[in-house]
Amino acid sequence: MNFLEATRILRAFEGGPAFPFLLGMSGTPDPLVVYLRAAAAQQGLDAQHRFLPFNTLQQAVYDAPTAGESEVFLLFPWDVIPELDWRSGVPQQAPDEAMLRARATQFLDRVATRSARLLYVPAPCPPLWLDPARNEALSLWLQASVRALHADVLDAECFALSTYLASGSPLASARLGEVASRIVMALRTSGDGTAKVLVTDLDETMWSGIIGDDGADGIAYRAEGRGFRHFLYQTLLRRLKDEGVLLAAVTKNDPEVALVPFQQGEMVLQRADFVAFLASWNAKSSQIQSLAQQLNLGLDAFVFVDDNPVELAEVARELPAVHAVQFPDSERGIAELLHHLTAMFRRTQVTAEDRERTALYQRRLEGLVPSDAAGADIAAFLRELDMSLTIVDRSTGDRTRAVQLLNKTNQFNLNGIRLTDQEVGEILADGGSLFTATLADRTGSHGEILAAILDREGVLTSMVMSCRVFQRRVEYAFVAWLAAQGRPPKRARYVATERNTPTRRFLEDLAEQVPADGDVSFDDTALTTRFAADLALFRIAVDGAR
Amino acid sequence: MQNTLEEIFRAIFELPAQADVTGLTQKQHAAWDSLAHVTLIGAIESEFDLSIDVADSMEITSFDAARRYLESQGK
Repeated sequence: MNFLEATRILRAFEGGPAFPFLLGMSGTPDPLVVYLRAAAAQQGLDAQHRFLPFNTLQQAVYDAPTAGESEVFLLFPWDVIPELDWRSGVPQQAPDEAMLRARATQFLDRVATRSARLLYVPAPCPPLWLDPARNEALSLWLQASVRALHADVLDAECFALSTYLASGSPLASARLGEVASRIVMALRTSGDGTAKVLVTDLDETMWSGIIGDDGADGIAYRAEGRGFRHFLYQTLLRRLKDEGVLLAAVTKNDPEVALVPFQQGEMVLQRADFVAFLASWNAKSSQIQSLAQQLNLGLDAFVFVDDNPVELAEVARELPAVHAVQFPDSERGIAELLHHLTAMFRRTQVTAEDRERTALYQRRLEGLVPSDAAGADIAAFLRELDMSLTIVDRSTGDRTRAVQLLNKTNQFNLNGIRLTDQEVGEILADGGSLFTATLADRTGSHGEILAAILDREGVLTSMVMSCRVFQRRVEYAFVAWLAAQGRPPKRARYVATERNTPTRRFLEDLAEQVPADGDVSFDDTALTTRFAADLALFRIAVDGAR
Repeated sequence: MQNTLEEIFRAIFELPAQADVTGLTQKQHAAWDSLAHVTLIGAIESEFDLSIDVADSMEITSFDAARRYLESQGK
């Protein structure tokens, strides 16, 4: 999250429950403000922060906490050992190490008496001794000491000496968004290990790839290559499950498709490790809410892990009590994720009941829990996404990505018919049209996510859409846009395939009758008015339309 | 670059979307105090993926100075 992205998130935020907290840090926190508010807004919360006066952290740990206010301390080495502060320079004389450690221990003991969440930046420090090994040993001892207090340790690059010297703000500008997210996450993490349920996404989280599109052979979850970080994630989940955490899978998919990788029996996790397997096309928030009711557990006991920031935002908005955690898109963030989850499900001892907990709850629930709960206020959520749809008429010019999309998409695919570039060219030469759509929202661009072909009679002969943008109403907005151009599709050439259930649901919303296979006829004059609200969710840009 | 910089200035100083910020200077704009300056420099660094030295940050006392600095950095 960079600065302007944070401001855009705040502009789109329609408000939420108050989220009062004290951020204790010794430097200037002002550059963090917009990021903190945006990170809280992403969780559906209205941040109401309070900061300490500059350089008063040492004193503040002796003040009584304010009732109703959560606390988070962002510590740097010099907060624990003031002699390490860059702004004081290198000490004229070598300090007494035993005294430094004793005073540091006293400070940390004081910190430990509070219920504050702790974050620590192991920033480089000026040398105290002309013995590098001794300086390094002190740094390591400091880090171990704060870790013992369950501090979330950030990486050293979160500190920037230039801004610290210039303004007293110790945080690197490029890392402000990340630090703010970690602060908000720390505040929302129970300090006593009361998180009980980990709800995990499947595609691009449990494994690399999309099972509905790539098939069982196209996904990766083994301890090699692109599957490695997913393997690591699964090993942690296995451990959590063995020590009493309930696992649930949630995916927008058909159950029989989502279960295929588990049925192969080659993954670390098996279907039996999950207390529930939520596979449906409803909003994930409604699926999680339904599960919470069935398990009879509070939503604050739930942690939700997904790779897709939009799914995370949807859950955060509808269920602010749920802790939403992003699965990283590269190896870089996996260590952080594993430690973060470990902290959320912290256990100091494991009982026999813990080990049996999954089986106990499985007996309480039926194995598969389809959620038919209505999606929460999805329209309000979608409006907050600030979506823009760029529709391009690709009847002439480059259509490479469109043809790729037509040939790799399975779940939202009108009929599963694959077309070569030459075949598409022949349809266009015969008077047909090829449209694509690119979606962007406040989280960034999702690229070209939709392709559709209409023949010269106005029959929709192909339509595909990336599963990454399901439940955005893109497909409805697209047909409404076509109708608004005076080119409503007359019919759609539908063929049921093993995987295109989402397309059928879409067609059922457009037409009175949808046959098992064959042409679906539309009341084309109704398309514009029926889906005007969907069209209004987007800022529409048109490029090259004829 | 110019549009992004204008958007940053409007956000930092809470000005309307159409406000002309190209003539804005620290001397003439009361809201541009030391704390706002810290936030402004942080926002520019974040948005343009830069690390601005202490001396350079002190020279950024107007919109035009910020624009010239970014140009000097090839932005």
